[in-house]
Amino acid sequence: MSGPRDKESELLAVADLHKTFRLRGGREASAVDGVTMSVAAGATLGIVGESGCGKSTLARMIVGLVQPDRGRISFDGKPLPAERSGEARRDIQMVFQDPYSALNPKASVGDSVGLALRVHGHDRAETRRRVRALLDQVGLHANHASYYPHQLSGGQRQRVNIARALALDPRLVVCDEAVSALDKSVQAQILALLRELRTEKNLSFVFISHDLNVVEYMSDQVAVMYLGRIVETGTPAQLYRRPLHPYTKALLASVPQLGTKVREPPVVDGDVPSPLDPPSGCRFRTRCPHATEICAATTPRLEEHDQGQRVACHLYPPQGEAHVRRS
Amino acid sequence: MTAVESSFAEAAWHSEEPAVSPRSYWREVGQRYVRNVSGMVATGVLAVLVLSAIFAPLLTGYDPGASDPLHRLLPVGSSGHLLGTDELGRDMTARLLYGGRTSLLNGFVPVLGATVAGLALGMWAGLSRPLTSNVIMRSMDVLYAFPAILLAISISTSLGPGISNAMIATTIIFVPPVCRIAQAATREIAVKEYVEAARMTGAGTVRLVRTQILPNVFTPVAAYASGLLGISMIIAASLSFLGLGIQPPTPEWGFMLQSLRGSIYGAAIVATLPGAMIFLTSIAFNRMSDAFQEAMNVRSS
Repeated sequence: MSGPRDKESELLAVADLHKTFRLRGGREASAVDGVTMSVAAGATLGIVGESGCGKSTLARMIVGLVQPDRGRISFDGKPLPAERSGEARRDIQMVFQDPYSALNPKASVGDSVGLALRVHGHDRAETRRRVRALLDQVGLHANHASYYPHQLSGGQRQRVNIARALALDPRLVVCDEAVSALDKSVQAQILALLRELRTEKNLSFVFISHDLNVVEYMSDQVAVMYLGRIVETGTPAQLYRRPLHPYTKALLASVPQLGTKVREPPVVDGDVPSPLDPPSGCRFRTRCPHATEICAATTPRLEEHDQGQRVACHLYPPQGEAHVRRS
Repeated sequence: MTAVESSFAEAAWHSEEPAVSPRSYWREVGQRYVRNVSGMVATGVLAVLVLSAIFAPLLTGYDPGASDPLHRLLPVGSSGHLLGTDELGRDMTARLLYGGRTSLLNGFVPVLGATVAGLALGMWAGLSRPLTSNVIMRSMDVLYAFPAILLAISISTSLGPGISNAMIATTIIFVPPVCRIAQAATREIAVKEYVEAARMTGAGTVRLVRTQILPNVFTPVAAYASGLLGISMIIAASLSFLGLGIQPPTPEWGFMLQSLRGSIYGAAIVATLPGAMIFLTSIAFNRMSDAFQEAMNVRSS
């Protein structure tokens, strides 16, 4: 996704990440299968895909909650060890999806937000002072510190979650479906807040969502995931105006639009195949209208197609190779 | 673009100082509990029983152990002996008051002990790897396999008669169910997102358990344990009735019931008094526990 020139500003780089979950009865579910991506400092990478495509597993591996089977995660040029040090924990934080289950119902807002500060050695008074400042930053009142989650609305809870993620002054925040559980109007407020914080603190985001509009609004780069693999990446403008991969096209076509009188029939049908038994070659081939034999035989690689837009599809032969063949 | 940005930033509302006062979970439970009439009546009855047991020496001039062979089995309402006397001529009022000390203690102590032990074992099992967890839970199942009262009888027989052994036996039979509830709750809570968030901070196990897991596991365990109070008192009374608990002349309701059994035809009302006290207390315990559970169930998160 990056040339040698912007390597320096690369904050997070993930290379060839794999995760397979072992289930009962010796079965294996391949959740993430060879994901390579990077996030530049101060930039936002959006990840879209249907539920079960491995987005959350990817997020959990980035923050260190899940150990990858294979592959490398490096932060600020240095590879992250399996056992994260305090420093690495500080730099990468996460905002969880469900504002209800993400807060301890028995702990006050102040205790939830301040926990990380206490763990990292701040005393009570300092923690209290910082928690009040953090709550103010996310648009809550400093006095909310002594309130309990059940007294707050969904939007307020999500603000608390954001405050908690910001407590240690991270450089990268992973948002796993951070606004999906909220009402549309509250979503807009939280998204505006995240953008505000991004500018203010020069934060980088990995923004995971199944909502294409939300990802478009938030991201500098978008990666489309299907069954554990990235099928296409590019800027929102590239992806949304000129999608290349048949799956991206299908995703965009499925977004309901105002003013369209007749719903066109879906571009793809059928369900996402089970990750227990993913198709060989290109994982989308079972639902792809353009699938040929080569799709079953070889796995397409994520190759640059045009101006940084990359796609993993046999319909788009790598330009370099095609060039060589022609000459 | 900047114009759009700033209008969005303005749209993001900034919260006012909250109008209501902060209320913790337990404070809300307390408020709901106080509003439950029958629960409060039961609590009142128990408060009277506990206070009268504590202040027994102030409420009666009689020694519960002093027998008076000339005035045996006086009926209720006799002058000087308001609730009559037992088969050895001891004042029933004094014996019921002092007996309440042991009986109420028999209700509280085993439940408290079993809650502490069950919570510790259950959280340990819930947080450890499958092997350790299985060892703990299967040994609990072994204890669970016996009928509770039979197990209590056999444990206190093997430990020998006496009040503390009866309490130990009662504690042991309560540990398995408490442990099961604690283990199930721990496993459920350990995978919650807020626990993950706390783990991400790098917090140690002790801090995680203390701040995240214990406060949430305690809720279902407390609800269950409150229901054990009445049962615990009855089991201890049963052990005393069988001669395995309290040893004479210490008064205890279960043992009094046993020793007055022979006089049921001569002084029916006096003989049923200890039983009536056991009944009243266990009903009050159960009603209190129900109210407590009702107050805990109604919750928003």
